[in-house]
Amino acid sequence: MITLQGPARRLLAGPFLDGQAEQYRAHLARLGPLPLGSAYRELIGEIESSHLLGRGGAGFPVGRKWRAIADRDGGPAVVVANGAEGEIASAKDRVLLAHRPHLVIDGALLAAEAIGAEEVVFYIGSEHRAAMHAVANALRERDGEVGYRLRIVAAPVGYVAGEASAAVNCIDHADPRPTTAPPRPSTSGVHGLPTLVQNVETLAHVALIARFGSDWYRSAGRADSGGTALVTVSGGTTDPRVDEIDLGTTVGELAIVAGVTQTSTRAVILGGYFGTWASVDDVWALPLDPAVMRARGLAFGCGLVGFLTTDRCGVTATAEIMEFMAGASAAQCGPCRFGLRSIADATTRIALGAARPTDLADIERWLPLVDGRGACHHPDGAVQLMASAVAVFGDELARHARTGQCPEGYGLRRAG
Amino acid sequence: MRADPELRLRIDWIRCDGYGLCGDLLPNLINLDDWRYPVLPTGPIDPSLRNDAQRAVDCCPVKALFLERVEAAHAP
Repeated sequence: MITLQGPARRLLAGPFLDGQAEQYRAHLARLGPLPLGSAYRELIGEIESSHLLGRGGAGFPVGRKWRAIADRDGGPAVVVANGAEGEIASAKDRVLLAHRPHLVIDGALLAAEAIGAEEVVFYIGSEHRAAMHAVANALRERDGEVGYRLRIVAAPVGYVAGEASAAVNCIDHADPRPTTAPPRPSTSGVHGLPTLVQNVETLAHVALIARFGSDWYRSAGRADSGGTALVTVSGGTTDPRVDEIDLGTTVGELAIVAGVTQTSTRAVILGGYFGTWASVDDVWALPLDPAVMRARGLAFGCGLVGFLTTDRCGVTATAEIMEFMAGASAAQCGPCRFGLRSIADATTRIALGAARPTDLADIERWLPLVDGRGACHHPDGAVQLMASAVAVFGDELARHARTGQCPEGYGLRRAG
Repeated sequence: MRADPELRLRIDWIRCDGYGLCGDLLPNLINLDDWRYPVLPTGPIDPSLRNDAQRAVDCCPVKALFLERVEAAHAP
């Protein structure tokens, strides 16, 4: 197996990733006890100094998020450890939960203490069986150790079930659809209480920052953003895999573990299905670093780095993603329900060589008509992906639409 | 100095069912997209159009349209 160079083993340090969860005793022997009982402001300050950003997709500063809830006017609160991972191209959360459940539990307990919560909900994708079992077993191992109410709620299969308000809605009402904001979960979430909904990888980082400090956290990583991150690397000649990288590792370096080269790659999808396509030459040297990526109009998102090799058609790949995103709409908001369906149908017709004369123009007209017009950001992410496809695969789209043929000679193939 | 706060239109996307009455009634203020969902003006409503905006709010059969103070939009 090819592994990355460098010291990037933190969340995934310890025993080999063989499908087995690390036992509590081994976790304690390796990392020492969880430093609970420190002043909450100290931990939140430490997180702020680390500049840790959320790893669920939006990349919001974690310290600021925690402080906003911790500074409320008293009363109980709830922590939701979000491991729904409905993004089908991503696997990092389920891999983390299945192998290092105690790291995530540590982070969730620290969050509960820091914001003054009495209850922690582990919200885990129901299809992620190994992750679910690992957390259930891990909670049993720690039974009676901590004074919080801990429970697991299964997140139904579905892309938007992991959105923060959908998580709250599912936990309270078994309805995994987003709700209208305001109120946001941070002010009125589970049981109507202020609720911190935080991705499980983010919580695992906090478990290490609490032990070793923000300077230690930032001592890894190469570019503007210190630290490490989990990434899912897919689309190359190897099976999709999860790796931990130093932030600042380049796309080209990850290509090595995916078994592809610059000349065998057509384009790269970054951040997730709500992310962006980029042409390979534009991003080969790009550091995978949230600050650098944001400055270039890209997003680190959920850490997906997907390589589209030259034997595959970008139009077809995009049509498959848009079909998925349209099907994943919770179908509550009209522009998302009808707009994404229309865009996906038109893109699929183009990919199949059955375009209507107006399809391409319609897609470009619909993109701004869907953007920002929903209760959650699902439609925004989907049209961003499509807009990036128009930018990167514009010529191919036009040729497919005009000639009814895939210029590369590849028909509609399922994504690998 | 302004006596009245600035107002803008906001929509509850989950409630809106695309009846499109708001756009039919006030095409100068509200456009309808291809699926008859409203495209609202961005920014504050011109005071001269405030009554029209209120009529659009009142005509919504599912009460999905609101007038809100512009400051309120920035609250977390």
